[in-house]
Amino acid sequence: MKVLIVDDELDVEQLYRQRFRKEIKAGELEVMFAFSANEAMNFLAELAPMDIVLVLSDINMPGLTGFDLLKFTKEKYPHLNVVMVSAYGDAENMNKASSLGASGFMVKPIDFTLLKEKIFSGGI
Amino acid sequence: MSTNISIDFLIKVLRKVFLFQNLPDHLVKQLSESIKTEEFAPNKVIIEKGDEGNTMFVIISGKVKIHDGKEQVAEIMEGNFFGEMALLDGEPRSMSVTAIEPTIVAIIHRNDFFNVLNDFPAISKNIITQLTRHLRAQNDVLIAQWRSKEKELNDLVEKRTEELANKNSELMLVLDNLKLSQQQLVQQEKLASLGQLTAGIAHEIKNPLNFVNNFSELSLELLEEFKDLTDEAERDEILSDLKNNLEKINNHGKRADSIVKNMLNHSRTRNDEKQLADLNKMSEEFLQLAYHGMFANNPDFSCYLKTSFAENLPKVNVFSQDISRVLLNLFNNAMYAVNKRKKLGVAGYEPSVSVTTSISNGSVIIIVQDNGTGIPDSVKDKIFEPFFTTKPSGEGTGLGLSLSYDIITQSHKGKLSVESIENQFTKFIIQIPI
Repeated sequence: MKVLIVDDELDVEQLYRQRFRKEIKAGELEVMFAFSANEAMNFLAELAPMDIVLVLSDINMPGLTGFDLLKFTKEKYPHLNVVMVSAYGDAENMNKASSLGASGFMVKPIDFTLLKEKIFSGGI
Repeated sequence: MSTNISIDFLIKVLRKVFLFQNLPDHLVKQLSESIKTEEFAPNKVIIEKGDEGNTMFVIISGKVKIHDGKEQVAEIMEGNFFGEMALLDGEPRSMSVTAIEPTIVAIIHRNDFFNVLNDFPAISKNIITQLTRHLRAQNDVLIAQWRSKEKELNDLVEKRTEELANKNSELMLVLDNLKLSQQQLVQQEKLASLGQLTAGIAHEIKNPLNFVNNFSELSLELLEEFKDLTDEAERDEILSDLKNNLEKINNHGKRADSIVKNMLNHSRTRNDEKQLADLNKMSEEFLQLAYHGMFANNPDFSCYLKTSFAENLPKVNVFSQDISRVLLNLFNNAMYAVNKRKKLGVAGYEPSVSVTTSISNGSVIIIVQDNGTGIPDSVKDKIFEPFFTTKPSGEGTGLGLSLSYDIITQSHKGKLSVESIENQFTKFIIQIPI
């Protein structure tokens, strides 16, 4: 299973790699990283998007935001699940995410136990 | 109006006049023959101050007043004379004379008068005596007038002084109120910008917290794993991860700490001492805070952030919370401007805010530039004035730039200038001497 993680904080890469260490080692999960919405869009266009099943995206990034990416992804690759991740768990952001077609919304700090459950139980 | 007065009557009249006492009969007669008489109705002007005069007047009947146009100096009646001064010295009339009652005067011409004087110099004494009396009388009147004027003036000065003192204390009160209002406004502006910051701060703290929480939890798990491991390579790998995680926890903890410090600094009323500050770091931190604050208030907001920091930028002695307010204000304005332009919906518009630092001529230069709506020429002169704002009412206090200007130019002896072209860019240039 391939997951694309989008966040402007560089340290998320180490965090996710460690958090999913076992799953990655076991070959159950493959993680890829983009550090801006633009980069993520290029990623999706370059790689066969079929491979990726899930995009985990931060909302508040300089330049294009996670919402821009969500809109773009849902227009071009409607089958892709997108989960938004943000420090802002307010109703406005959540409603906007769901109206743009997000499959889920996670508030930072991320609860990885919950995230794992969601990914592997197909709860997303 | 001339009259029909007989020579005999004129002689009688002249005899009574002090000036002509002791004058021999033939001379009185000679003078009487040369005299013209004239009648003046009440309020008729007989002589006017400033006019040329070569005659003097003896009052045959009636009454006149001597005045300078405004103030009356004397009233004189029949048997007295006036106008002798101009007749004697040839200067313009020093006073005006106006009839009070119907008055008949005898008019003596200078030549006739001097003829008499030549023939009978003894009357010079009379002239001098009479002139002295006139002058004395006039002098007394003038002194009395002057005294009363002086008193009036003193009273007036006293009254005005009192009024001024009252006004002054009123103004002091108004000034005190103004100072108080100003302090309140400055505090309000600080709170307003702090309010805007709060949301940004929440985001900027939650991000490092995300790392602190997760990396520490991970480390606990790694330790548990470590206990059961025997393979040296695997153990090394975990140890290296642990070290790395602790570093991350430390970094992000410090990052959160710095943000909270900044926030506290920002709201503090006043720090009396300048501190050495890293303006690159401050610019970066407040750019992020402003960005996230803006985003928290407008979820549709986004813009590119560009930074270009001089690597060798020396630390500068500044009132750091004041400088942070200036930076935050400029960043907020820049983001407001790009957001406003973005809302115009021009295709291909990429909102961007940049901050650049450099050193030039012994000063640190911080340039904050945006490609937003720009500042129209018509208001460029006004943007640093207190209470000037282009934001809708309730959104801006109009004090941000005016306070920023004071902070840079007064507290730091620097310069704050602006360049802008409408719908292209705005560029604020901060110059702080090192």
